[in-house]
Amino acid sequence: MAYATDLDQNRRPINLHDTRIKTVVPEHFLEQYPDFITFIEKYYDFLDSDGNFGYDIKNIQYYKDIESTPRTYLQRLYEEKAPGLSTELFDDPRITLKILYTLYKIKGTGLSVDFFFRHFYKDAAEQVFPKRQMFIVGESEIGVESNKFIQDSYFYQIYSILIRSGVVPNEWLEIYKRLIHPAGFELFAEFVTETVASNIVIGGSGALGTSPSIVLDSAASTLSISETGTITFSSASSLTGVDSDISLRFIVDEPAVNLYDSDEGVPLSLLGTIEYPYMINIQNEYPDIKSLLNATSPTFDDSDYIQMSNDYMTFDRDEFSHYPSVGPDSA
Amino acid sequence: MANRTTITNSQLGFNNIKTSLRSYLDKQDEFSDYNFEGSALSSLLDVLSYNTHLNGLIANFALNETFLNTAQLRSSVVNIAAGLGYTPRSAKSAIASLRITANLAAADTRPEYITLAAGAVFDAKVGTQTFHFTTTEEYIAYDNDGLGIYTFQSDNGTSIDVIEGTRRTKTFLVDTVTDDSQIYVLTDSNVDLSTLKVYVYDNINSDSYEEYTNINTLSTIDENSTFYYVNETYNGFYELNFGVQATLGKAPEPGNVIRVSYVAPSGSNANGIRTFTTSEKVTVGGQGFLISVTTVTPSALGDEKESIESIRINAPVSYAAQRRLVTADDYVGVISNSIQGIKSINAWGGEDNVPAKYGKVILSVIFEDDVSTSNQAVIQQKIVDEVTDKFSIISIDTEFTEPEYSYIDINAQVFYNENLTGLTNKALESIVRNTISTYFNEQTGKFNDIFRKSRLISRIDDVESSILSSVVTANVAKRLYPTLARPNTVYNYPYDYTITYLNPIKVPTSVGYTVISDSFVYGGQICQLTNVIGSTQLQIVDLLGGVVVNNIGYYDPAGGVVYLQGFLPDSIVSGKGYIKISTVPSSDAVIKPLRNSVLTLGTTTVTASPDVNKANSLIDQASIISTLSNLNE
Repeated sequence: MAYATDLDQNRRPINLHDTRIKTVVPEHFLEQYPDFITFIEKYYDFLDSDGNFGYDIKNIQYYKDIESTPRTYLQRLYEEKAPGLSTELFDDPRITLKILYTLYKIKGTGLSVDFFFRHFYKDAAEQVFPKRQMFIVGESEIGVESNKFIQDSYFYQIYSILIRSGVVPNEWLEIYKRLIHPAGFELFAEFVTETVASNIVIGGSGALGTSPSIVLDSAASTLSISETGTITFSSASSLTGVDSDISLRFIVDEPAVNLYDSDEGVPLSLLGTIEYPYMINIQNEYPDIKSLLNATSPTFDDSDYIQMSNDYMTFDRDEFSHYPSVGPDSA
Repeated sequence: MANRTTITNSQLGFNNIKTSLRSYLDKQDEFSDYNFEGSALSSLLDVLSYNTHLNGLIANFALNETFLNTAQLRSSVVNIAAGLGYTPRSAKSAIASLRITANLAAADTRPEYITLAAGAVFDAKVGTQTFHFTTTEEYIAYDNDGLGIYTFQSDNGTSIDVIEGTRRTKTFLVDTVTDDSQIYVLTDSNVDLSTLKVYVYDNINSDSYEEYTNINTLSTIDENSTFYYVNETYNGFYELNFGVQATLGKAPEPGNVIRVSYVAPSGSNANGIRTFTTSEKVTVGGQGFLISVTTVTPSALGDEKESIESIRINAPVSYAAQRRLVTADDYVGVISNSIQGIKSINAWGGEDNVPAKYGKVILSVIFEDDVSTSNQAVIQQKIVDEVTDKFSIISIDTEFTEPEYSYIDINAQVFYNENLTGLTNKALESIVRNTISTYFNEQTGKFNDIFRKSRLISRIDDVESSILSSVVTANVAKRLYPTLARPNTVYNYPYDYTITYLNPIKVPTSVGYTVISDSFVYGGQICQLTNVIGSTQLQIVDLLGGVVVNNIGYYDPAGGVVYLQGFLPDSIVSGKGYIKISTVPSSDAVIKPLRNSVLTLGTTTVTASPDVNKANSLIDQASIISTLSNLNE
């Protein structure tokens, strides 16, 4: 069968195979038996056709070449050099396989963590050693201010590592443990989310769809768009705010920004208006969302949501409230 | 587990090729009106198809030999592994520990010490075969107690290690070196590479020599380093390579003589030997004294050359480990490649252990069948001394734990077509029982071997053509070794037990037990342990179902744990020392062992019955055809 590689090899072909029937048969065959010549040529065409081995024979020298080998055989190379991993796990399995050796050499180091997340997940993960926050008698200052913690044989201990990354742990944990995690160390993961600070397009054919949900920050009572962030309203769009405390939902609509209860389908009250045009810098226009609200209006609390939080989101499991052990068993 | 299927890049059957070729040519304009059934063209197609068939086979062979997991030839597998930096294990000599003494009480004068030379021979006979064990170094004995009994000493006290095999020597004369690469082939495929000694003499008459060492033992290399590296050749022999003169290591020069000495072992055949004899003597004052020998540890660790299948598994893992122990997988790979006598090994970080043991890596080992208990301890110590202490992260310790077996009880119901077999129910049941046993022998018994019910059912369905369908249920049992009540004792304290199963246990239903044990004697009655129907509470009932103890614990369905509280049986009916406690898993489709758990076959119950589904009978099929025929009319 004919295989196609993902990449333009951009090399001079190594293989110079060619069928030269006419040059090897006796000369008089060309005149007397032209059909025979054609017949044999067609036979060689057949050998190179789909489902036959001619292609493989001609290209066999490429098959151990990570760059050139067909995807079918790339998996075979994975079985040799990346035990337990599959081409399907990576966006670019060829580059991954090439650099895997480097990762093997530095496994267990801080550099390997950085390398792992940057390459595989395009994320700048941070490796934290909780032991550095352990209270050490005679060295650490006593008191809350020192931010030191008593050894708990779990998080605050010598053998623990905290990985803080913007990738959900379930995505990276199994591969991480297989490739670089030093066995014997407890592994903790923090999933870091950050507010999108760039412009947000509401409606139209934008990636966010026609009715994205945005949660307002109750702590500051502000809509947590960055200072330079802008919201672009297109036609027939709306912005939904959610009050988690009383489960009411409000829509910030255009051209006038009205906050009202979407569940009821009618404005709860006229809470404020933003003048047309489409481009509005919320932060500059309304630094405090309270100014849009009546005195009796509900406050906004986004503590259960991640979309607009600048905080770290931790996974709460097992007996430890904030830093649970996560991940698949290495056994 | 990697995919072991071979690559098939094209149709290889002659008829298929001919059909394809004819079809291909048929579609060509030049030959659209040709009759390919005609004798001349058909013969031509035959010849070309045959040629294609042969070339296709060669192409498939070539493709398969290209990759580690599909290669069939040992030479291909070894070469691909070499590309991964992996040297397959050579054959290995069995090792025994002996206590060797010489009684010089009758000597005229007793020396301060006596010596036993390296190469002293100790024989062991198994059946008609005699194995020769030898010492590998010189040992010294002292008359410690003043009675004239000299006991030879080693670093391990009075245990002297002897290794099995015949020491052989090969000599190479270094001729004119025409290039930088010098290769010397030991024309012997049976070499224990750990016993290899390489000496380079100045010339054929010289007594002075330099010893060359394995490159893996070096810490630095310069132009004066004397090292060799060894690898397996395409025909199973071993070849020695030396450094590149004046740059990387020292190489023997023309006129030098290379003497290579090694032990050719008998592999695993020499394991398990307990009796040794010797005719070695110690000479004192011209008088020879026989030495005597007693066995401290029977012979073990003898092994054949690493198999192809083992190389396929270990080479990639070893490549990933890079000769360091960081991840749990690294421990498995490096230890498997370094230590003999291990059938299966699993490693996990202490953070994954229950309970957690930080700063430790836990290892569980299933030893080869002929490794004695004392040798198991030796192997564990070797793992620590030779592997984990050397290559693991500093401060990470190694701890061993015993494998824990989970027994899979299989209940299979098989339905078959009586018209398609002459076998009786019992005969069919026996065949199925053997199939189940074979499945478990092949698929379980090692760490991380997973039970997949669908695979077992497929095998059962395929074992006999008359089998139409089968229903299989799998329960998981564990063995509890309880403390028994001591008879005629006033103070008998009951114990609590926690038994952890691999899978969640089925939630209790109103029909049938989800937890049930085999029989034991409790309070003078023969009883069983069961859950209360519809409840997770556990109770002890007598053979008639009468409740003896209403609440003896409970089970946690989701966690797959059985808790026994205050359990103190008098005795166990089977007399085997354990009570088997079976559970119905919430799902028996896949049972996957964790950590030190190993799956193995428990009990097998097979029932074969003729299929009573009339739609499958030939008569009914005929009747259906007849009916359809009538309808058409």
